[in-house]
Amino acid sequence: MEDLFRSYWWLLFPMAWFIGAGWQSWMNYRTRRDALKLVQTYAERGQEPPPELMAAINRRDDDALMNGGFGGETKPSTTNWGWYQAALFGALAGGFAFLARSNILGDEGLADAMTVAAVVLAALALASLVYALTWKRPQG
Amino acid sequence: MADLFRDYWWLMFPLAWALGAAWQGWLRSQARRDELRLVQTYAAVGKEPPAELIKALRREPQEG
Repeated sequence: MEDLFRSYWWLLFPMAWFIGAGWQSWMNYRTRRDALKLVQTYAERGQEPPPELMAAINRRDDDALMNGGFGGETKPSTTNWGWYQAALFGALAGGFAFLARSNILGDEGLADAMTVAAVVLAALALASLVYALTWKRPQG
Repeated sequence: MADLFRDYWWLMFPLAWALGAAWQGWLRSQARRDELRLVQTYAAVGKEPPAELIKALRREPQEG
């Protein structure tokens, strides 16, 4: 058991992130539910709820799970990040390809791993390039 | 058991993702239910629900 912990102690970090994000989602949900309950109280009394309270209902919380995580939609960016990503992934792919071909690190197996990394990063660079070329500024 | 974990530790990531997605879906359905209950309250007292509430209801389910 101790050996297992020594080998996989770093898994605590991603797992803690998952638990923290789940907890944050729960807290945001509770806040929203409480705001809705307050609006309900106003409605039952036949009064208008304050505009700030109504604005809070439509506020997008800083929530890793609710906004973007686990297949959710993120707010469309007003900046075309495709060029930045294409340059970054392209440069990384070039670097890995150079390392694989020059054999600086002197290990044949490592060169194969570098080639695989270069291919993956080149594919990401290509995808980013397509994204950059087809990107449209969001309306509004 | 430890050997099994060493071979399949990476399964924790898709599993955690799936659990997170299920948790998120449940929270969204609860939020949507609360919004609809509030609209019901407005309907019961014969008042128009605020525009912000309708806006919240019109959002796509995946928008959160």
